[in-house]
Amino acid sequence: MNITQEDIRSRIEINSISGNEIEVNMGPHHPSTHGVIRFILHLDGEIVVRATPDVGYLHRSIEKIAEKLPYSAFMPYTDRVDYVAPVNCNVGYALAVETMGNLEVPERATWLRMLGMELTRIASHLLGVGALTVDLGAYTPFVHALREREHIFDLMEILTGTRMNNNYVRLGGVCQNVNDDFFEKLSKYLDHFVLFMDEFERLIGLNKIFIERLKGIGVVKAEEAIHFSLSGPNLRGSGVDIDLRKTDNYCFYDQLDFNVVVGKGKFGAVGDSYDRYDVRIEEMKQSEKLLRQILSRIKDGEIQAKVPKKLILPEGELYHRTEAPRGELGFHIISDGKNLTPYRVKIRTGSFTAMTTLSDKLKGMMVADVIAYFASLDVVAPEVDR
Amino acid sequence: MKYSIDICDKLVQLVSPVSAEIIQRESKMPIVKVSAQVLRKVIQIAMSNPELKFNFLNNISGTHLTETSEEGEIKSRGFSLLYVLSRSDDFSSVVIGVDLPDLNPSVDSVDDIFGSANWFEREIYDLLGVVFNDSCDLRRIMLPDDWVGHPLRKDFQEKSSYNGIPTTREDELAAVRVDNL
Amino acid sequence: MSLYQELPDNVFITSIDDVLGWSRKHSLWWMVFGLACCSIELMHTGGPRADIERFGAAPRGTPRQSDLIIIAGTLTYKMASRLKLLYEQMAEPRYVISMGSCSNCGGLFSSAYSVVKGVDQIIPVDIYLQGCPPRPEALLEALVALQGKVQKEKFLRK
Repeated sequence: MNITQEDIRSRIEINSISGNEIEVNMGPHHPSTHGVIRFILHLDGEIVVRATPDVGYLHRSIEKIAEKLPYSAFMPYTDRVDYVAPVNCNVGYALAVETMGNLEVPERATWLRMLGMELTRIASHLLGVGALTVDLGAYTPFVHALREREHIFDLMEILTGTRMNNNYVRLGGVCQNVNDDFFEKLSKYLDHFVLFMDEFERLIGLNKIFIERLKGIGVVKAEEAIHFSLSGPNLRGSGVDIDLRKTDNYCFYDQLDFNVVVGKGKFGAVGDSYDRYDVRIEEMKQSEKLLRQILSRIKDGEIQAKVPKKLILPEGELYHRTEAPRGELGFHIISDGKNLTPYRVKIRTGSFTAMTTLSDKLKGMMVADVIAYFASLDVVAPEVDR
Repeated sequence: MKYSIDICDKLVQLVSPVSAEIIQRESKMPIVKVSAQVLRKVIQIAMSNPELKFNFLNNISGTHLTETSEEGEIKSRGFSLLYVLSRSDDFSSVVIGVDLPDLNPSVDSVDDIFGSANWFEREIYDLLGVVFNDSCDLRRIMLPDDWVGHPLRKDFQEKSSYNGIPTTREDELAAVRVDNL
Repeated sequence: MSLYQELPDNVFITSIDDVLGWSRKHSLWWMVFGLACCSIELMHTGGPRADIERFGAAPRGTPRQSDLIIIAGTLTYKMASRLKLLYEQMAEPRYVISMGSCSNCGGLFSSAYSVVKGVDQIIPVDIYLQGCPPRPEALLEALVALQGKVQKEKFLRK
């Protein structure tokens, strides 16, 4: 008996299956690692009839705080927008302000920024994939991922000064320099990382239970992904090959050579949860390739340009976007041309739009598949609530 | 970023006789400004016209426009919304802006054209108080349901407590600070 | 000859309070209440390098089975009622570690309109741990400090 999600959905829409619905609360506190997000599920037995996500449990009013601080003082708050990949958010904000104010960035600083971004991209995808396995019930791959993240944290501590919430980027450059010892350590770590990825794929990626839990679950076709404004690995998992590092040329990504990884329907339909997992694994390998190229091109030089201490941006507005590990990270900055503080900062994150697919896609799924689908989207709560 | 003045000119030309003007022409991001009554029609044309085909919604943001006098008094001038749309093949973008009045600001919702628009509009309704007509689901999203006020407005005053929890924290070291002794 | 020298090596004399304190402090089961950035460091503390389970502290998902709640992250007004409910569901004796600046006093977000300025406005706190976020070693030190507090408690006398 092979009943698909489509059959169940069509039966729900005509008439409720048995008429006895219970309301279950997957409350804001739950043992998953994605943060405080709540679902109100109406269930008919094991099948979801209606699902309502409820967010805002981590709304820390970062956008209102931005209106009280000068541009350079807002940098630590951008770390906390996505605390799993802080350097990416730092760079996104710095590029938006620098584009609006026509500030220059020295070459070595841009290379160092790209190094930080790709290293945090690897760390973020490791946590995303590890959290997916924990939600499916396997704790061991998560601890393997944490072990690798500890090595990456050691490297980030040498590069930026702290393990997490690095606050590494300043307007016009980066905050501290590194010497060649760090590049040797990074190169040795990348050699080890290739072997780890091979072991990880054999441990979990080709595991029959893992494949059966994920294949065919939550299929998002390409038109639906564009309709719901998915971005990042979620969009590429559905077959659309858009990568903001290639379309909007920022930093020096046009000088480097890497592939845009697209989901191919390896075990099920194109755009199912296994594809989104596979895109993240392949992207980690592409990031490793990028890191080696950056190591061969980085030269000596200055790390911080001269930026006026009291920076006032010219009047106007700008929306600038970069590719964060969870999708498109956009900063919309409005300046009134007179004050040291911005008039308005709006942050647009990839997880926010990924949450909009839920009330449509969860209909007709079983409860265990709800968790598998939600974990494959790799949503973190601070990106949704800010 | 891929904004170009040619795309804005083409959009203005294709939506005529509806009037649209381009502001910030020489800057890095030209904005096509339309009035609130025709916003939905302009967005529908931008999405469906085969020469434009902007079928990806990047962002909807809202701002409270105010003037501050020398004494520090804040006078509200209205609200402004910004829609950023992109093409799904090469990701070039266009920006459409709209200005709303101060009293009862409202505009038509676009949540049947783009699937993600509903949550963007809910956030703007919650934090700024702009109403979206014919929206499928307009309620608060970030703040608790019994919250009073719209915090991102420039004249928002914080209350002294919320359901019994105080909103400020006493300084524990105040009693032993040098200037208090 | 004193009594101690007469006894064989595997017998020792102590007080009931000491034994109870020793056994209770080495099995403090904690509830995972990770809200924000500090929850990542909480996960790393449970990870392979700074292993919290070697102290006997096992993570639990439900308040009914835990002695300790580690509040890691920023508490907002929307979440505050849930924290109160979860704390009241824990059985006594129960302890609270407030991890990070945001739960100590509001931290970086103390000028925000939606953040509770310190978790001790809602529940009583035993150990305040500062840091943004605190390192895993700092969390282990907080746990050891709590163990010191538990050891000194006269559990059988009210």
